[in-house]
Amino acid sequence: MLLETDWKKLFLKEIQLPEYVQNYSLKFLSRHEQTLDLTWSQSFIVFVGLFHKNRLDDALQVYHQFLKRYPPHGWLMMLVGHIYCYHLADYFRAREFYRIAEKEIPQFPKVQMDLGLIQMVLGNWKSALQHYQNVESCAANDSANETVIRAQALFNQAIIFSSYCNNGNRAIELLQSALDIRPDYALAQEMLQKLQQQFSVGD
Amino acid sequence: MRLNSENLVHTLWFPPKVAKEKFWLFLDEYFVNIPRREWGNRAAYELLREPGGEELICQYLQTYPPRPGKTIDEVLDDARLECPNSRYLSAYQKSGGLLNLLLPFPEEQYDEVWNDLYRKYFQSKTYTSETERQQRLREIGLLWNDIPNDLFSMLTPAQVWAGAGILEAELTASFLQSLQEKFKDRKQQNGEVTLEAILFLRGWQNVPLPSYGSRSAFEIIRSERTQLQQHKEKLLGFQRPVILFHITEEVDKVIEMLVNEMKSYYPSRQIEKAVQLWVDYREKNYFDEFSPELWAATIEYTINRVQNKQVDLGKIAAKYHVGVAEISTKFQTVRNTLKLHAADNRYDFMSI
Repeated sequence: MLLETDWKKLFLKEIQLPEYVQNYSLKFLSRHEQTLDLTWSQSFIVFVGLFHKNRLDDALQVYHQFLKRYPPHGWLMMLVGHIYCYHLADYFRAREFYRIAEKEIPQFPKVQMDLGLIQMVLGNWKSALQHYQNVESCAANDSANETVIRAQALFNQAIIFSSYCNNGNRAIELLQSALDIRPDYALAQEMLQKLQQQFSVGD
Repeated sequence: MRLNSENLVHTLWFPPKVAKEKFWLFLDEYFVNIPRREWGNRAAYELLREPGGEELICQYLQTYPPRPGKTIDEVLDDARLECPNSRYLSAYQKSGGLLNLLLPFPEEQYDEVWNDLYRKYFQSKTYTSETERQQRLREIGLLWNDIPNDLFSMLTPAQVWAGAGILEAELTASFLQSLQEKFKDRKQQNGEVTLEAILFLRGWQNVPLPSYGSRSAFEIIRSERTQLQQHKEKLLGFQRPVILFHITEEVDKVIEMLVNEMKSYYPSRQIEKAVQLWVDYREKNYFDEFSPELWAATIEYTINRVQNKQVDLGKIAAKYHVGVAEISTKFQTVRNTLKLHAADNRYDFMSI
């Protein structure tokens, strides 16, 4: 067994993750100090490496062989969910992983965005909408990345309102909000224009 | 494009591999639901319940053999109706039709509706006997049958159990044609293309179709499957037990009020239709301000209007302690949202 300090140093050195993920992972490590061992950290590093190289089948194999038996690490669950959703098109299984991730890391916008997408795929637009609305409270800071996610969540809500709820006015409001935070959002501009034309023809 | 040609299936491209398997299954389910002239406009599932029906089906299948890999006995099994006295567990093994064609096969462990019902209304209770426990489990199973479930693209398990009809087959042919055209240059089988194809389906299924009275594919499919379900259940002599409302009440305040206020004056079938109307409306209008009394009053009024019954709006308003004008406004909303018309066979219990 590595000493606690060595472990953490190794972990942070090897996995070049965003700062918020590092902080979350450190908390996870101290929470599960008794149950995790070196295999977990090594496997996790290999998993993340394979994931970033887009070797998703291999990454999944590492998860099933080495990581599955440990306590669920929210960020890992999110990545496994990502593989099932985007790579294997197994949306039911993907949702299971994202649900665990949602419990572990409720403030991660990607978890809410992807759950929203899965619910859209499953035809459950009400639940999809709820997840897209949750993004607003997750993505609270103004970083460029989060602005993009927030705008996208608003855009997706607009799609739901216009296509499924037959509520063009609400869709227009949402698109305007998306453009307020991201004025160069071409898809939102295009859809807003279409809806406004449609409504003026209707009048 | 017609769905009855075996060659067609081999030439079609499906984004996920599982879709081809589901498509075969879909055709099998469709086959037993289609009335045939040579059988006096009866479908295989109807004919099989009549004396000599099995022989007629076998004769037909000798002339027109089932698809490769399918035996006559298997076709007969498909045509046999299971008794709907508990959960329609077979829904997990059905294709789920067009709306579910591009999704993986569902499994009970991923069924959030069932898991939720089980946890809330079964596990949380204590039972004095095994009989009571089994009874409760059966009731929850029956309730599950009728709840739209995202494991089945928001069809109910009972609608999945019922299988597809003629209109769904037409719509499937039309969708598959559009799919082939849209993806003609990218006929791959990977996650990215599958995702895009499913989102294409989800958009397509909600577009009003002028040739079908401006109803969307989703509405048409759901309505046709409901009719098939009701017809099959009627054949089996299945009466939905009123006791189910006791569980349903715990789920929705409007249903609780509707059942309480209507049960002394209306037959249970009509109450059931009122509940169905509310469930359908609720599904489409999540964002309305919520007032259970007003909605219950509106639904009671609406169901009477749909069924062409003379009804005193003032009395209904007084019964629920809400205003006449409020009910009228909400009635317009419900009527427009669900595109209701007089004697609408979705909600007119006399038409079943």
